[in-house]
Amino acid sequence: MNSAWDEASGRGRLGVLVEPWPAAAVELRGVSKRYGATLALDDVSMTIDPGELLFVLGPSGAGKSTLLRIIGGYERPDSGALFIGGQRVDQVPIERRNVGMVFQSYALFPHMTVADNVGFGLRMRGTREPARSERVQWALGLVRLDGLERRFPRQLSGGQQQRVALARAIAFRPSLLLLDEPLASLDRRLRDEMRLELRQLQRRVGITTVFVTHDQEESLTMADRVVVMHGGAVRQIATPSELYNRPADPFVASFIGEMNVLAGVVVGVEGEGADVRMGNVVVRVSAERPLELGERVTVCLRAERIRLAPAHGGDEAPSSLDNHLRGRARFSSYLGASTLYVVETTDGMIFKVAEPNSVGLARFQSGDWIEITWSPDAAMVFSGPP
Amino acid sequence: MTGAPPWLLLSPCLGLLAVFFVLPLAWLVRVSLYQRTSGAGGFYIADSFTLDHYAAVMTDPYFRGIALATLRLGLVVTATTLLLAYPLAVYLWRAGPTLKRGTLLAILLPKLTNLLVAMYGVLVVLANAGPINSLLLAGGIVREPLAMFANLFAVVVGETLILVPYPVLIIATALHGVDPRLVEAARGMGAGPLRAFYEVPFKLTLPSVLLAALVSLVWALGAFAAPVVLGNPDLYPVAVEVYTTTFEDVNWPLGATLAVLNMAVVTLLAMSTYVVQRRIERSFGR
Repeated sequence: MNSAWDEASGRGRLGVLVEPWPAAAVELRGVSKRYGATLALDDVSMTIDPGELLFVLGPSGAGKSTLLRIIGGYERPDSGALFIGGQRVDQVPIERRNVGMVFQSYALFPHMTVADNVGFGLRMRGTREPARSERVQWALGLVRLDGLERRFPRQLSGGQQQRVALARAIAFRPSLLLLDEPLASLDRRLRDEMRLELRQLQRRVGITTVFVTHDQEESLTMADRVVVMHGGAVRQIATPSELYNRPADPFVASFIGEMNVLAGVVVGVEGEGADVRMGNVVVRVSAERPLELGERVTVCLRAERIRLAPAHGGDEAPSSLDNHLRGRARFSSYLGASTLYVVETTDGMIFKVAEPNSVGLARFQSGDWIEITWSPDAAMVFSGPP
Repeated sequence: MTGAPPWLLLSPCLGLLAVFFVLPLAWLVRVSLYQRTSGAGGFYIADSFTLDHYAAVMTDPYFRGIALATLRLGLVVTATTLLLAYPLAVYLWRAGPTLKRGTLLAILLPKLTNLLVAMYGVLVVLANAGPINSLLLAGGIVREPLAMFANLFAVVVGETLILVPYPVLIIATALHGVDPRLVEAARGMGAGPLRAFYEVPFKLTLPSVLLAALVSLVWALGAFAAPVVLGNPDLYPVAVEVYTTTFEDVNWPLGATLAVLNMAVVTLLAMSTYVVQRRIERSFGR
């Protein structure tokens, strides 16, 4: 790794002493923000640990950017309190918050060289030469852009501009780093590369980081924890695996991965299991909490938790407690490592099913008769209709 | 549209310019090189050639005085115009769409009035019996009316009134090209509101401010109506001198000489502005 920073000695390649990063904790208490009739943030409370890489995930209009802009000081909350490093800052002007920000459009200063862009925050803080240049070199080394100091932003590629924006956001040693969909305008290969690099850099520097994205894959692969937002409210804050395995509600469940969301009514309760009627079909589910007879529920079933088999001729008795349904493949999309099928059961229900391609080929064609099977504990049951 | 050859789109305007601007200009230059008639009959001696008028203008202290008066008026008006225009342009940049439209209309509407009428309007306001002096007298603030016309002040007021829309539009257009995120980014990195403005939008629009200054200066150097209506003979710039020389003294060659020299100065100014502008832009890496 071409690093400007030597981990063992804590010194940069240029001998600049890099003190431990002043990573700050962040806390929001009941923060709300309204734009006219729209409630952009609805009573949001959360804490972010020092040095944590927190992802804010949600569809557009969920309030992600508003949340980020309030933390950075670009917007003032209508109510609630914000603490950075233990100090209340929601009324502190933006220039005194010491928060680094990478904008989606990068917002690089077109009339300044790369070095001047990166050194801007230091210059505003009165850092003199040569300390300023040393710090600029350090930041550019971190993002592997040494040697491009005298270029102007328009002379750089998109990926390079992205790195300059990142170097600029950390050069003045902010206590917090905010990233607003920083990878959205990069092509896929570069995006994957930058993800890894960003993650490594964040770990190495140890700066508390809030990363806004609408890309669930991005959040699952990079985050320490993920905040899922919808309609201005926080739906769940959890680690990626918790989010995947134990979503708080059907929205979170369906936002992460391919999900079958089915409405049903509890028609039988038996021990830890229950029977749920969905249309003409009754399926068995296992629930964590007792379900009541007649309760309306939402059953979420991940596409990859359903198994497929060629349909046999006669009606066989179910061999286990697993749920079995018969149907036909209506549509299949080949994704290389797996194939996503849309299966329509004989009762007219639609299921999305993902199957790994063991020999690199899809097993079924559209129109094939298929038997789908899943175990009761594969489904997640939530109270109420979807 | 795309099928038309480019020269076809250009030619009507180019034709108009050639017939009504370039031809008279060439004629103007030729007239400035004729000898003046000594007596009555004709405005110049045909087929003559002389550089006497240029020599006279260059050496006569009278013309040096006029040149200085012209330049002084030009610089004062340019400075005043820019000082008024820049904040207004910034306001337009920050204003919401409705206010923006209203303000633009307010800026442009006075341009629809006749220039002379506007100048006499200024005269009425600044006159001894005008509203300002009446108020000052009635309030007991002054004992005698303030002398607010027939002086440099009045000319600058009138000329600024004529010119201010142009720099406003030029600078506002440039500011609109500045991404507001850049200001936010500067703020986020520790710049206060004024510092952030200076570092980003102000520096980015400097080339346009220069252009606005040039437009103001060129206009002000050709000032005619404001000095005549609101000034006094000591303040008359070269444009007024061209008029009196040509039509009152009936000295066409000398009038033409003054006009040609005025144009030469303006052309030189425009070219040097372009050079400086390019230098600033190159320092932005463009």
